[in-house]
Order: sequence, then C-alpha cells, then structure tokens
Amino acid sequence: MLEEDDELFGEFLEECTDTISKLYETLDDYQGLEDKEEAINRIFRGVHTIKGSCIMFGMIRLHEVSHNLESYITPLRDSPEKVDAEIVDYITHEMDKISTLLQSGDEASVEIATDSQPSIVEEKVEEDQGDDSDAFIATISSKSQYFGDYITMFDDLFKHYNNKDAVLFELEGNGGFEKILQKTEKFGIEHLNSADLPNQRTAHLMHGTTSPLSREAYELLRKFEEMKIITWIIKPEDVPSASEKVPVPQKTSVAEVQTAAEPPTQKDQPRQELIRVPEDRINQALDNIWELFLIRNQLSYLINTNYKWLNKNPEFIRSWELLDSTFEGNITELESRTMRMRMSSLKNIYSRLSKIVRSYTRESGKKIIFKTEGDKTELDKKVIDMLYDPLVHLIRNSMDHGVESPEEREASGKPAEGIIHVDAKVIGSEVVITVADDGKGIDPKKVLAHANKKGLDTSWIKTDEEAIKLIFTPGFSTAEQVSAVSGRGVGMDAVISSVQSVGGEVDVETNLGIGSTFKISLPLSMSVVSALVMNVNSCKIACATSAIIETKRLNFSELKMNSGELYYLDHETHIPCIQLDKHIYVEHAKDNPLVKKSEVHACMIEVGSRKIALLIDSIDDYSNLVIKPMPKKIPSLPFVTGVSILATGSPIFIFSPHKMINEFQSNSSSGAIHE
Amino acid sequence: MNEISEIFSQQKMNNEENQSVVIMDSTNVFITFKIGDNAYISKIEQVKEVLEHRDVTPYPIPFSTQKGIINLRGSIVPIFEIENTTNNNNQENKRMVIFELEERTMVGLICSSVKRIYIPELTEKSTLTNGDVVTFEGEPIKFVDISTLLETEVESDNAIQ
Repeated sequence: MLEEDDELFGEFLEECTDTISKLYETLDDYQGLEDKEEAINRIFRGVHTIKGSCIMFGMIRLHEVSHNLESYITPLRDSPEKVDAEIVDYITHEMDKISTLLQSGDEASVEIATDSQPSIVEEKVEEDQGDDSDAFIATISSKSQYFGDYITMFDDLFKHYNNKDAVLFELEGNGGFEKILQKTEKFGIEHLNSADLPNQRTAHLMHGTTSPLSREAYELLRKFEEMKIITWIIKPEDVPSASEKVPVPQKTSVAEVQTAAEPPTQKDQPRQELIRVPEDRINQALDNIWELFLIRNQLSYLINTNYKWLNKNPEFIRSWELLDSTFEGNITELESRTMRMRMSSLKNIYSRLSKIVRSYTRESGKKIIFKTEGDKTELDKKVIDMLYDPLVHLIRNSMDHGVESPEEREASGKPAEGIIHVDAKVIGSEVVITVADDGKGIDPKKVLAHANKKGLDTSWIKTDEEAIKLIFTPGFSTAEQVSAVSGRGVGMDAVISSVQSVGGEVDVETNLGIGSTFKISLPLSMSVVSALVMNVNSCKIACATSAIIETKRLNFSELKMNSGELYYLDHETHIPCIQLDKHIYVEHAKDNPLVKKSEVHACMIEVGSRKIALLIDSIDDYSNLVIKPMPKKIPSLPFVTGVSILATGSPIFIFSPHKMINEFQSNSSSGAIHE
Repeated sequence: MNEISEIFSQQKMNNEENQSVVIMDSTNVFITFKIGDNAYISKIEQVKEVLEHRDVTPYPIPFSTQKGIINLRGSIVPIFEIENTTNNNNQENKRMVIFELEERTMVGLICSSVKRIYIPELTEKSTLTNGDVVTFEGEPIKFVDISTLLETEVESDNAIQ
C-alpha cells in the first residue's frame, strides 16, 4: 500500500469507528426515540457510508457484510415503528461484525452468510404490508448492489464538491452519468423509489452556463425527476434529441435533489468543531510539560540551596518567589488542559455494557434493570480503555451470581426485576466507580468452603470480610456450573490486576440477601501526584499522600514490643507497626537502627478496616512528583508503582503501602504483621 | 556520537584517533570495556553515550547485578554492574556506558574503564556472535551483545528473588 493510501486508510478507519459508535448509540436508544424514522434512516446512512468506502480499500468481506445489512435495513425504513428489540439486536449483532472486520483489517473470520436475517424481515414486513411484500424485498436485495454503488457515487460527489457545477462536470467528465445510466437501466429504474436514495439531503444540482449538459445526463435527470428524486426549479430548455450536447440555456438550470422529506440530520444542537489529533502528539506535549515540571523543581531547589547567599538581595528573592509561583501555576494549568485532551466520557462504555445486560437477560430469563449514572464523568483514555474489561467482568458476575431468578426473588419478597446500578463519581483526586446489585450477596461461608475445596490457603482468615476477599484470588470461582458468561475462574483476579495496573484499587461490600457493591477507585491523574518523600535507611523513597491517613512523630517509648512486634497505642487500640528499615534498603542501613532512636516518624495507613503504622527514619519533603513510566529492563518490584525525579535530579521510587504490606505479609513466614 | 568522541579525546587513550589516516566507519569501530578484571568488546552502534560515574538510586530490595536507576536528562535508565568494580584501584576511569537497545530502551553498564578501538581486520567479519574472542593488542577480549548479556543477567536476578 502506498503511504498516501495508508493515510487515507487511517482516516477511513477513524471515520468508520466514529460512525459505528454513533450507530451503537442510536441502536441503544432506539426504543425510546421519538423519531424512529429518522433513527432508522441514520442507521441506514451510516451502514451505507461504511459500505461505500470500504470497497475503496478492497475490504471485500466488510463490503459484503455491510451490504447485507444495508439491504436488510432498506425495507425497514418504510415501517420504522415495527422495528422491535429483536431487530435492533440483530442489527447490533451485524454492527459488531462490521467493527470486528474493521479492526482486523478485513481479516477476522466472521460469518458473512446471514440465514436468520430474512425471516425476521419477512415476518415483520408481512405484518405490515401483506403478501406481495416478499417479491418486493427480493427485487431490492438482489439488485441493491447497484443501488449502493449509485448512491455512493452521488454521496461522494456531494461530499467532495461544494460547487454543484463541479459535481455535474465530474459526472459527465468521468462518464459518471453513463455509468449510472448503465447501472440504473440494468435493473429498471422504475423500481427505484425515494426510500432507496440518500435521504434527508436537500441538495441543489445546478447546471452552470459553461458546460453543456449531455443528452444522457439530461435524460437521467429527467428520469430522476419522474421518480421524484429531483424536481426542477428552473427547467432547462428542451433538449434536442439528436445532438450529443445540449446548447446551454441562458438561465441556470437548477434541480433540487429532494429525497426523503426530513430536514438535515445535524439540526439538534450546535456542535463544537472537533479536531482529530494523533495520540502521540498529545503525549509528546505532555512529556514536555512534565519536563518543565522537573525543571521548575530543580530551579527552585537551586535557589533554595543558595538561599543564604541570595538573601543578601531580598528584592531578588521576592521577585523570584512571585515568578516561581506564577510559573508553577501556569505549568499546572497547562498540564491539566493537556491531560483533558486525553479524556473522554464513560458514555460509550455504558452503552456497550447495557448491550451486554440486554443480551444476557434475553438468554437467561432473569429480569434485570440496568441503571447508569455519571456517564459524563471524564477519564483518561488509557483508563477508559482499561476499564471496560473489568466492568464487564463485574457486571457479568453480578448478573450471574448476584441477581437471582425472578421466582427466587419473589419468594424472598423482592421485586422480580433485579437492579444493577453502575455509577461513576469523582471524589477528590480519585474516580470511584461502583457496580451494585440487589441480588443475594456473597456468602463468606460458601466462599471459605470453596476456597478450601480449591486448596487455597485460608489459615490466615479471621473475619467474614477477609473471607470475601478470597474471591479476588487467582483461580477462584464459586460458580457451581460454568456458564457462558462467567464462572471460568478468571474473573475477579483479572479485574483486580488490571485495575491495579493503573494504580487503582478494588473493594467489595456485601450483605447476604441484600446485594453486593464492587468499588473500583482509580487515581484521576496518573501523571503528577502529591507525594511524601521519606528517608528509610538513609535512602529516599516516596509514597502518594492519598494513601496516607496521617503522619505522626512518635517517641520511641510510646511503642510497645510484644513477641518481636511493635505496637503503638492510639485511642485505646494497639496499632501494629511495620519498621520499613527492616524491609527496604536494608543493605544501606547505618549502625543506628530505627528501634534505637528516641524518635521515629510514623505514616498511618489503612488496610481494609484496620490501621497500620509504617515507621520511617524521617520525612524529607512533600512535593508534587511527575510519575515517569517504568523503564524496561528493571527488576520487578511488586510494591513499586512508579518512578519519578526529585528536585535534586535524582530518581526516586514511588511505592504503594498496600502492596508493600501484601508483599511483606506473604514473604514473612514469621507473620510479623499479623494481628 | 559526538559526546562519545569528546570523552574519548579527553581521555587521550586512543592511538588510532591521532593517526587520522584510516577512515573509520561504524562497522569496524568497537568499544572495549573492562569490568573488574575482564575485558569485553562490543559494537559501537548501540552505545549512546559514556558518562562519568555517578550515584545510582538503588532498588529498595537489592539485586545482585542490577544496581538501580539514574536520571539521564529526564529519562530513567536502569544500571547494571555485572562484576564488582568497587575494589578496582583506578576509580578515576570508572564509567557508565549507556547502551540504547531496541525500542528506545536504554540501559547502563558500570565499567572499570572504557576505550574506543578500531580493528581493521574485523571489517569483513561483521557477524560476531556473543562469546567470540577477539585478539586486540595481544590480549583476548570477549565479544558481547549487550541485549543478550543483560537478558541473562535480568533472568538470573529475577530467579534469585
């Protein structure tokens, strides 16, 4: 493929993806739409556009699938109100095929033949039109290949030329009219009706004074007129039948291509102009911005280290501070603006999820109402992409294991319809997404029994909460029967690992007989975090401040020792302490271990419902750190979530206290941090 | 590449450089480095730059050959020390050689000393493989392909964990 073609192809892909996502939206809302005719026409147009352009890139399979779908939709346009959920699902299903083919570059193996399709149509249309409709459909679909080509040609011409003279010129010059004529005549143009044409477009065919109208063109236009596709506003003078070319009339001939009676589509709301930008460019801009952050940090470090000397000139320090704070504010703003370019809303995900729920309810016989909130919540593209699979897992899980069958529900005094509620909210610097169902909840005893059956280590479990967390263990699945949607034992741990990959957490709350709520919390910005830089064994390590409840300066005498473990008494509770210097940077330890100091610092964190104190040498600084991508070729450190660069220019690791505790918990056989 | 030549000219270690009669291209220019007592040779194409020795931010948990990370003008580069260089007498020559592997992956190697050499005999023999021994100035030096060398190091390190 030529480079130019590649570019075109990219554009085509983007355009199609866009079209498809809009079509999905329309399909999802179809039953609730006021103007069903407009909706079905919109779908038709979308499919048609895809069909028309894909052939340019030799995507034959895609062409065939979209062609079939287009022929399927064509008769539906006469009776949009008859389109029921079944048909919508069928169309959605075909759209799925189209998008699979698109993404795979026409390679994916999808079933092109659609045996079940005509039966739906015939059935539906028969209700509407009676017996002879069969014949009509047959004519259209066997010939709509030509309809398609012909419509495409017009569509494309109007898209590319605003100047109607040019359109006509193009038609003539490239033998377009001849081609159309050949094609239309082949199948007998009288079969055409307005429904088969690009609808809702009112375009003006204007014939200028410069180029003469060919006889064929004239005739075609006349035929179009007869078919009520166009109406003359000013009729051209009679065309001499013998001569090839028509002498141009003095007046301009204007034909109005009048297709379906609807006004143009983009009537609804004024749209803001959008620009497509390759993701790379935004990322490059962000790289520069983060570089700026680092430079600012280093500048201010430089000033601070020379403060004594510079302070001889207070004027300088004053100006510097003013400039510095403005500078920092501007970078922060620039950063957040640029980050916003990468954000998109959850709307698309929600509509894809509701599709899953719909198809599940049909197959399972369960009744489920799917509610969503917060579809306007915007998240980074990377997070959105990551979020889909976990959400699907959670929702399938709720449908399969949570919500009971209607009979069961009624027996326990609940309404027959189960509710699954997905909500997304921004809380502080985090996004919290909850998936809640009003099903039967999770039974900790069952979970525990199942875990034992699977041979998982359950000896450490003391509370129901801990037992329920077992569902996040790899390979755990409570489904007694493996169903098509869930129960393959890969669900929950896959959820947790993909959420953690972007620094998020998953939590579950459940009440037996009342329902379960899964909560995914994700950091909103994944680039700049406010962090606490601490000293451990004379090395520096950082931790996001959001993970820390509070920091305390403790006198060593406040700490109690019991069987080798330290406890700190806080409001009558003994909080277990973890001495970080015994776990990290051990080889850099000086002679003076933490325990021998009179004073230590503690960072309180919360794990599940209990507090744990991390003991550190001292707090170095609070600062905004730019998270850098983890370089390749570094060893895997389970509790390190990122790297950054300090104002001094030295790199620093950022750790997650939760992961660190998990790590030490599983490593330390002595159980140093068990209660 | 300029940076490298600068460093080398500062070191004034290279005889060939002064006899600027020979035309060198990257196919026969190599880098040799000593790590501890062992000498290695590697193609110069992968070398991004040679740095003065500097402090490394260590990993929170120690690994045998993976020392830590440095900040190279905003990029985080992992540093390897495949043999101990701390006992070496001549700490002045200690360098970090930064290699750029595929996909813009950078790694650094702590070396006791580094020099750039030109081996005309090797022009024809472009297919040196890992472990080949090359004679240079009467000494045997081992050819290493950095990516394979480090891969085995990373594997063995992770195995220790």
